[in-house]
Amino acid sequence: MVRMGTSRAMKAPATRKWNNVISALKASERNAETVVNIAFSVAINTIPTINPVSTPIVFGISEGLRFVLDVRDKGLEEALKSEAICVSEQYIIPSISDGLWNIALSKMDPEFSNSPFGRLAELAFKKTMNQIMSKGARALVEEEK
Amino acid sequence: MVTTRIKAENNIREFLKTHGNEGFLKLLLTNYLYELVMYYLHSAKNPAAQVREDTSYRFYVDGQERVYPPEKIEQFKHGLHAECKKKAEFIVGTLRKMELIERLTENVMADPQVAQLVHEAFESITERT
Repeated sequence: MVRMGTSRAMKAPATRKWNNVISALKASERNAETVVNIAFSVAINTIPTINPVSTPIVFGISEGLRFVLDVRDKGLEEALKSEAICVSEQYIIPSISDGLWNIALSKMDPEFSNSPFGRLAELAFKKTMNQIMSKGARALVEEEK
Repeated sequence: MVTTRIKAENNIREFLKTHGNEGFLKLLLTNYLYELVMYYLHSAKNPAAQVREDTSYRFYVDGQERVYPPEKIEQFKHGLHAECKKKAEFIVGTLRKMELIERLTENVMADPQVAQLVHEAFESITERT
């Protein structure tokens, strides 16, 4: 973590190749495709294996997918009961997403859950579940616009 | 508008009916890859005097040292999101070819061979899409 005035930024990947990402961002007509391709390629190659990146979200996939299929097959009440998720009547959707992520966390090695990738996976997981429960089919369609 | 339990349930059913299991994977992976790329593009490695060589600075300031207007930044974010969606679709396609989609509701990480295949599918994010 690097302090930047009052804010903080994550430390850039420790490789000179990261300058390629900076150059892509500096380009007069910066291109999202180029930036994403270079950023992932350089960043992921600086870590020994992909496992810390993929593991937290795979736990989220398992928990989320099993839950939505349970809701489809048995209904929400049964799905919540089988996962023992407590729902706040005031914040129904966020409390379900939160409960599901806590189940995923309980199955995950803290090495993964407490990592920056674990926190990013949590954000993405809760956002996804909230989008699906609040928007239905539009969740994916609106993302594509 | 307060969403009721019934609405949440109907929305889940509608989503699965329209987009299926792969739609769930696509949305979750797109959201994750977008968080990941935004995380990397808001990094710093230089002392304050060289902040101009940080991605967290260059995300908002162009090569001529002009701050991008908010609509340009939003447009760029939209482009990044679209690219993450392409990579998410690529990963889902790889998982489909490996016949792993249906197994993802299980604890796939408990089986070292399956876990290895899942990790390999994720490695495709470093490839050009």
